[in-house]
Amino acid sequence: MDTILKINRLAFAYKSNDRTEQKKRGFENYSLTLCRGERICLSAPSGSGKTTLLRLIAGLERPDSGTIELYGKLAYMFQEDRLLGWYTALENLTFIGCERARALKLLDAVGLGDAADKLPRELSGGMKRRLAAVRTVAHGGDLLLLDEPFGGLDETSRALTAKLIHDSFRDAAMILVTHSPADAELLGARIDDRPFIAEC
Amino acid sequence: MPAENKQAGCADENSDLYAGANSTKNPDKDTKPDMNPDEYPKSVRKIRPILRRILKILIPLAFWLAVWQIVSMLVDIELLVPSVGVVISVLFELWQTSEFWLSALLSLARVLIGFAVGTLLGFVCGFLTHYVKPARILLEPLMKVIRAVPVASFIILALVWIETDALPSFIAAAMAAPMVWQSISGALASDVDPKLLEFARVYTIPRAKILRGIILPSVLPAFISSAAGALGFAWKSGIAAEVICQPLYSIGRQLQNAKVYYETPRVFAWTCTVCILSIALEHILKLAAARYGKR
Repeated sequence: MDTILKINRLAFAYKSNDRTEQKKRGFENYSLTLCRGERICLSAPSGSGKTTLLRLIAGLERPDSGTIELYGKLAYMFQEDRLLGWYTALENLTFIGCERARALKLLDAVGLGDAADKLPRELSGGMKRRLAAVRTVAHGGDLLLLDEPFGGLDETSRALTAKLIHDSFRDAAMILVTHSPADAELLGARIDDRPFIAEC
Repeated sequence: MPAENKQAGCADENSDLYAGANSTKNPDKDTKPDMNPDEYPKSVRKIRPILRRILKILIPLAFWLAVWQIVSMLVDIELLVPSVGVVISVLFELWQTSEFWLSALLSLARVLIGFAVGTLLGFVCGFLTHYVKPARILLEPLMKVIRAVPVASFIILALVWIETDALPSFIAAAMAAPMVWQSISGALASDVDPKLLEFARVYTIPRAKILRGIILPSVLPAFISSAAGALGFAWKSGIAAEVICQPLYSIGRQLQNAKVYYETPRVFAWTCTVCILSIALEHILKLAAARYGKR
């Protein structure tokens, strides 16, 4: 099978401004290999660095040592919606290069067809989350990083959004960060609860 | 809601309904209905905010005109403080001359050209000082110096270097640029959400698109606010420059002439013109900004 992600002996320590703090928490010797179609769910306790791991993979943080090799395009659904407040729902999708017709179809798929011309501030929290999910789908990729993707969604929206993600990233590798086993099941992800945080 | 609308509609059509309501509750008043403001007919509900806005302008204006009139009556010397009536009549006289309109128009043109150049310069310098470190090191002290130099010194110095007609534009540009510059530089540091830039990076959005779709909309509110302030300041400084360099057909020259001939009502009338144009310019800028930057 194609390898999509290869993390080798990754080490990362959070930088602290407090000089009196002796111990630094972070990763040490964290390794992971993901192949095409492989889906894992990280469900370690809060504050254990799950989001940081995703940020390291996305290149938003620099590791202290170790390597991260990504073979293919990355799609990342952040923990926050990160929508452009001055653009409508539709424009938020076309901004990333999605064609208008496809964008409308995707919005329809998660029940946002009527909200295409609305600004993010006119949408509810759940609608914004769905829009963020649709934007990730519109971007597409070979490795999908999902950080608490269904926060604030009701059962129906959750199922609709999960189906769209599941079907759109059928061949992609996936790392899902959530504490909900139900979400992992919806997306067909295997739970990986090994601790990857250490005192270093 | 439909029931309320229906009631409002009925009241609109059958005005005697008001009289009926009044006859039981307010026997002394014949016309004023005893209604909740939400129940007023739609046409009245539409006019009320407009009326309120007009009154908000008219009441303070009337108050300060009254203060002016009282001061004028107390001083009782037209040469020092002319009365409101005299100034208004001088204004009407001025409005009937072509020289007034030519002077006002050319003064406006000079200042607006300077303001446009200064704003553009400030905008570019704001980006340069934020993104290019050597530019920041070189330009930041210059900005501080420009801000610290008194307008009068600037005008006198510039008079040595620049021809008379171009001086008001130069001064307007020199006054507007640092204000826009500082505002853009600050907005780039604090108003652009780093999380949106991270999103753009991960989604490999091209730089030009990041500038157009994330950075410019983020700094737009600060830019509009600083541009409105800069316009007022550029206008006042431009007129001050005109007073000193006296280009042909300018408000500054008219002010200076009126002062030289002790025509205080004319000085007041021209000053009123400067104020009216300044307020009008600021409103036009804000309206334009609201039209293009609704989001």
